[in-house]
Amino acid sequence: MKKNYKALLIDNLALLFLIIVFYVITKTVSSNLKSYLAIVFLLLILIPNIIFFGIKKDNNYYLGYTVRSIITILLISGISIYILGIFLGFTKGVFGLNSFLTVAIPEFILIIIWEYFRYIVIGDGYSKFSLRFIFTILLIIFSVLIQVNYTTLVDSYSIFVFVCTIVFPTIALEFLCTFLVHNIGFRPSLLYKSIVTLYVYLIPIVPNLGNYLFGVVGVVIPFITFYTINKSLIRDNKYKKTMDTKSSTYITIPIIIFLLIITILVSGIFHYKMISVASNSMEPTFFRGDAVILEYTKPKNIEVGDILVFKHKNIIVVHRVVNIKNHNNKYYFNTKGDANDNEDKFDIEEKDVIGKVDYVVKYIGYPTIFINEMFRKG
Amino acid sequence: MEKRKNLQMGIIGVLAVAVLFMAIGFAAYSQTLNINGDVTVKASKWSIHWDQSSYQLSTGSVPLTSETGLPTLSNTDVNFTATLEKPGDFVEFSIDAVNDGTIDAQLTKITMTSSVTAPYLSYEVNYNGTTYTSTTDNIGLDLGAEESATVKVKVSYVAVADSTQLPANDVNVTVGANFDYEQVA
Repeated sequence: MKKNYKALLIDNLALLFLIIVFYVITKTVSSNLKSYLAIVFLLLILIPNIIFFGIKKDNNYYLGYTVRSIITILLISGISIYILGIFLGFTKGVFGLNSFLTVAIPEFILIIIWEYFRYIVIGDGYSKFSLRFIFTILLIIFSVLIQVNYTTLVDSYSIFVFVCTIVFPTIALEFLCTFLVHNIGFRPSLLYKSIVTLYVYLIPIVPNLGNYLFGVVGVVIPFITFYTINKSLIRDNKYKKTMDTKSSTYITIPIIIFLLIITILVSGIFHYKMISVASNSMEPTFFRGDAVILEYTKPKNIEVGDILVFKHKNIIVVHRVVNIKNHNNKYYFNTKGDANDNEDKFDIEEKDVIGKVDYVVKYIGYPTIFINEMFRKG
Repeated sequence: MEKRKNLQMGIIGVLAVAVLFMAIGFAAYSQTLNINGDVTVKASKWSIHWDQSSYQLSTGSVPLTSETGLPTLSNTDVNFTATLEKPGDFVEFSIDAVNDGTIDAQLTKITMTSSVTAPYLSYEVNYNGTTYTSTTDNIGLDLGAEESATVKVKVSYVAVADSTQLPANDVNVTVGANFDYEQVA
């Protein structure tokens, strides 16, 4: 029996109610227990759905292709990320028999119920976009509530990191799963979610991406998966290649290249990093609001006249080198801002040196400075 | 199919905004590394002084009377005058140094002075059981908050074997002892 509009609406309302109850109950509960509770709550809606609408068969024409695409994309992504680990280093994951039994297995059960619940509700290919959208939003809220640890959200930085590393990837993942369930079926969505959620329990070391790259990877990989499968769905419907198709490629590719450059420069995973200039001490070389691209350099390669980027009392400073001293085979630098009358009244040790400036990009640093000052005032 | 393409373009736009938002945000936070915290600095008291009520004159010594001169005591000074008439006479008294503040202290130095150095004169200071006969640095004895230490001062007229070493006339001797305390970190 097909679902009608009313049934989908009821499902959404029931889910909303359960989310509110879940939030109230789990404010001080550990995330392990939350997973068990979420299983119970989802079963409360899933079982009536199965009773009224029966069990659906998952047998889409594109199933095989989609499964192969997902495995390929995740394999290539995984290998690329592990290659990044060579530059960034590795860290111990949650690999272990104990965590596998106590965390991974309940999570896997939750994923199965979660995705089958999604399939039962919207997996007929006919449901209205607005209700599918609302349903996905509710699932996102539910997923975030399961993952959140309120005690860690103590300041603006921890909330920002939570948004970038949990909320954004969850949004990307849930929308991708809705797309897969609605267009293909239950199994591709189950496969994708299982791999990206549970791989950490099967691998002893993981690349130390840091919060920024972790967040970017969390949104980009679901997008790549969506793009690949969506493109094949478009092509397979015998959509003729027109100028419109080419123009969207002309827009897409530059955007992707721009985002890639921004990600590489902000993360600093390779030889270069971009930082914003927050003061006018280096006028007229560059001004507040400009961004500089620094090159990681060994202290012995720095010369008088280079613009040095270094840490001083927990602040990053960009000033010109005016003197270099060598004492016991260690370098010490004296610096001065181009606009300052006097030299900086401290020696810079090797350990505080970050790199030297190679390029200046005008004005691009203003958003960063604005947000930085807003956080400091807050 | 136009809908699918538009959806795709829309998602690319959202992705671009999300990545840029993260880039700007993380760059903003990495500009300065701030450690923010709330610290209450409790009002503290540094107070080390003589406990005048603990002053005691040892028995058998030369008495310090209203006729001979009672010692004058204040929180920081103990002044006394005594007359030692024959070898064997000594004046000895004790008084407690008390740390009345909230900051732990450490005795670092005792400076002992005497206007006369002679074989018939013995001057010593005993601080909590340890006897000092000359200026001593780097003592390092702790005096924690609300603790006290007993200081005994003894000036003796020593019996010498050679009577020619005894003073032919009255000798006025001024002795002094300064106790330096430092705060313990």
